[in-house]
Formats: sequence, C-alpha cells, structure tokens
Amino acid sequence: MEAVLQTYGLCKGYRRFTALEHVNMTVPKGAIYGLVGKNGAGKTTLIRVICGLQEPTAGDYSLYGARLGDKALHRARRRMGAVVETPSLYPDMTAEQNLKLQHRVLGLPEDKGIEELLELVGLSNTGKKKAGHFSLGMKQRLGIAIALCGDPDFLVLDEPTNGLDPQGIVEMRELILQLNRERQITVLISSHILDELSKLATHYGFLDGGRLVRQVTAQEVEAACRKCLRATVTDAHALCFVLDQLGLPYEVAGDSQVDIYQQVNVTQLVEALQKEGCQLLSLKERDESLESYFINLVGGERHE
Amino acid sequence: MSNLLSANFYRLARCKLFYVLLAAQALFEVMLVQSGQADLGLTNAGPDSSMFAYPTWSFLMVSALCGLFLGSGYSSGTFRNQMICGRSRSQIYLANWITALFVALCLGLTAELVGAVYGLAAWGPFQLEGWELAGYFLGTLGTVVAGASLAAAFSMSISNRSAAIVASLLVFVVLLFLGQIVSVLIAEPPTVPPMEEVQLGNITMYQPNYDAPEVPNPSYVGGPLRFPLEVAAYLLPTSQYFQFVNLAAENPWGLFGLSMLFTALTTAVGLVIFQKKDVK
Repeated sequence: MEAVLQTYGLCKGYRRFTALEHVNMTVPKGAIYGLVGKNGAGKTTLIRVICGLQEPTAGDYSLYGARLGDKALHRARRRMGAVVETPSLYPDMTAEQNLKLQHRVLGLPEDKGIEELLELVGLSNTGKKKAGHFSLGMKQRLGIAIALCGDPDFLVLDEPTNGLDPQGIVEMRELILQLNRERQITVLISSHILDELSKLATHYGFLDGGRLVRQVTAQEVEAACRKCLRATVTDAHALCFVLDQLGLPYEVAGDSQVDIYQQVNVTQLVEALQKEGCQLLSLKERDESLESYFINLVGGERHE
Repeated sequence: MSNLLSANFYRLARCKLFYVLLAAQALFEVMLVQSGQADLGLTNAGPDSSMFAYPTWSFLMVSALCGLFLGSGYSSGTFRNQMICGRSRSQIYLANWITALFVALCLGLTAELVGAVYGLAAWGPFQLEGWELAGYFLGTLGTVVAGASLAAAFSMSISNRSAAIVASLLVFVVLLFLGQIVSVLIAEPPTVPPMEEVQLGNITMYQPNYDAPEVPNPSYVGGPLRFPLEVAAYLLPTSQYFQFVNLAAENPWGLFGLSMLFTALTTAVGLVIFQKKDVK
C-alpha cells in the first residue's frame, strides 16, 4: 500500500528531555490515521517535525517518497496542509482575506475556489467580520480552510476538536469524514479524545513517552476490543479441544487463558472439561473499549 | 519568494498603521524643517540643516511597524502556514526583510519629498549643490534602510512580538546616544591650541591661545581605540545620522555604501538566527 508519510527512527530531543524516540510510523494513502497519546506524549512534537517546523535530532522521514534533505521535499509539502496546535490566521483580516493571502503564498489565482472552500467549512456568511472576532469553532474551521488551499491530498490536524462544544465536535468530525470520502484526502489527526477518534480513524498510532508503542488498523483494534469471555483453566490445550468440539470461536490469550467470542453454556463447558481432566478456574466477561485498550497498552489506572 | 512578497504587500496595503505612520512622518518633517530653521533665525537659508533630521523618527516608526507587522508571523502562527506549504526559512526571512526595506523607503521618501517641497517653499533653495546634495538625500535614506534591516532582524529573531518591539526601540535609543558620543569623539582634532588663563576683574577665564604652538588634545581618542571608534562612526546608521544632521558628512556617497554594508551584515545575522529558530 502506498504510504503518504513514513518516519524512520525519528528522534527529537531537547536539553533536558527527549520528546520523540525512534518513531517508526507509516500513514497509508487514503487513511484517517489517529495519533493517540496522553498529554506530553509527543504528538504535537511529531507533527511539528513532519511539517518542517522543527528539525529532528536524529532519524528521518519521507513525505510522498521525498526524504528529509531532498529538494523534492519542498515540492512534496505543496501537497500537504496542516493545522498545528492553534489555527494560524491573521486576526485583523476577514475569512476571505485570509484565504486570499494563503492563495498568494501558494502562488495561486486569488479567487480560485475561495467561495467553495468557505462553504465547505461553513464560513460563507461571515462577510466582513474579522477573524479575530470568530468563535473558537469558527477559527478552527478557518484554519482547516487555509490548510485546504491549494487542494492538498494530505491533511494534518493537531487536536482539532480541542475546546469545541459538542456540536462543534460533531461538525468537525463530519467535515473530516467528508474530506476523506469525497476528496480522498489522507488525514493524520492527533487526539487524546479516544471516543471521538474511534468514530473517525481507520488506522491508529499509539504514542507514549515519545515512543510509538503500537501501530494498528481499526479492524485490529476492533478485534482486540471484541466482547468475549476470558476462561482461565488448568490445561489450555484441553479447553481448546473442547471448544473445537463445541464449535465455538476462540483465541488463546496465554498459557492458561483463552478468550471465547460467543455465549457459552457454562454447565456444558464444565462437564466437557471434567471429561478431559481439566478444571475451570475462572470465567470473566471482557468488553474492552478503545480507552481501556489504550490504557492497557501504555499502563495507568483503570477507573471502572 | 515573489509569492511571499505578494502576500506581504497585500497585507501592507490593508494595514492602517502603515498609512498613519506615513502621515506622521510627513507631519514630523514639516515640524522639523519649520522649527529647525526658526531656531537658527535664518531666512532664505534653504532647508538643508533640518530636513535631514528625519531618520530619528523613522527609526522608531520602522521598529514599531516591523515589530507589529512582521512579528505577527509568530503571534498569529502564520509562519507555520508558509513553512508547511514548502517555503524555506530563507525565503520567508528575505520576503519580510524586503517588506521592511520597502516600508523604510516609503517613510524616507515621504520625508524627503515633503521636506524638500515645504523647505524650498518656506526657506528658499538648498545650500548644498548637485552631487553632494544627491549624496545627502541618498545617504540619509540609506541610514533608514539600514535601521529597517536591524528592526527586521529583531522582529524575525524574537518570537514575542512585544519583546521584539521593545528590544528594537531600546537598541535604537542606545545607538542614538552612542552615535552622538561617537560623532563628538571622532570630530575632536588631535591637537588644540593651549588654553591660557585670562583675568577679567574678579573673573578667571580660560581661552585658547592661537599664537602658541598647539598641544595634544586630551579629548582626542587615539591608539587602538581609534579604529573601532571610526568603524562605529561611519558604519552605524545612528552615527551617520549625526553627520547628516550637522551637514558634516565628508563623503555622503561613501556613507550610503557603508549603510548597505550594515544592512547586509544585519540581514546575514538575522537570517542565521531565524534558520535555527524553533517556530512553535
């Protein structure tokens, strides 16, 4: 699968601490890649490095195949738009003027597609209102509109729902999905609001303490978070034999643990295990959310 | 870079402060020419001695405008937009530097045009002539351009907009004082007539004795300090300013060239700092 962005052992260190450590990440084309991590995990640092705002201290990355240091990287960046931390806009200019300015920076005709962009992000009625007087949600949307100038096919959004009200979050989600589906824009979105991300992302990268702990697809997360019964027995082989006989789907979770992905007749199971000389020690229901998946991955307290 | 310049000029055209400062510069120039000539009690003496005093105001105005206009790249985060879409830091710096020079030229030309028109009408023809007069016009403009280059370097190097403006203004004020001191020191001759005591009744006075052989001037700076003093006197825009104001510039065209050298040096330093800056 073609990758839009790849990082190779990317590191970013400051005098007293290391923000990123050997990050190897792949963002496939057409994906909505959710970069997940706690506050201070290194999400924004990673985004700043790949957007060219900061230099890595070690490692490399490639954007559309153009590596760091290649002349082609500047051209590759023209295919990219980003909103890093807060939206970057001139507060003393209107939405339209901000977009015209960005068009000039990109060397595009001033009026090309500006009305359509404003309509896409829901800012077509702002008129002469200065961007400095916009609400936070409006500023976020204008920031995305600015990032979309020049028709990029890779969009990087750093916590775009920060500070938004529930309706704003829904609108932002709808916009991102629309951009991905209708314009085939690959999106890298960082967030620590897992519930919101679970409705968007097709791929996940879990960042903790500057390290990319795991990189999975949404299907893999869904499979890992499937509702199941975790059986702890004295002989896992015997349990597997019994489950095969009963025709129940399962997955071995450890030396003495098996996850069963279907409702079980407990009496029938215990009797079958007894015949095989195996004891059932415990049977627990597991229903892992993305949140608990993440917490289990990076450690931390569970709050049931 | 032409795209970045186009964007900057689009913003500058919509910047009310720019027009306010142009108007203020014109007004200051009229006041300078009027008050300067009135102080001297001259009539029909030409506007020369006061119309080249405008750089003081220009330095301050260009510092404020550069800080607010260029510094918004940090405060609003719009440098990020430019870098993300593939513009190099050199391109961004140079585009902003050119914008600062344009502002300086506008302020300087406004002052010189208004000063010349008003001065000629009110005080008669220039005392300076031809090539020398042209040198004064260009040389003074050069000091403002050099000042703008320094202001641009501050604006692009300090991410806090207010701190950049304050630092730039403070540096200009310090350089103005330094320029005055340097100009005075450099103008001291190596020898002076000896002072002799003269009694006028109960009053003891000291006056130079021009008949006696000259003695070494205690105020003259010689030795190893002389060279850096001369460099400061001719290179710093604020030192050049005092030479123009006092109509004491022996080589105004040369001073213009040194202003361009100062501009190049400050630009190089500013560029190096901006290249290494983390844009957050």
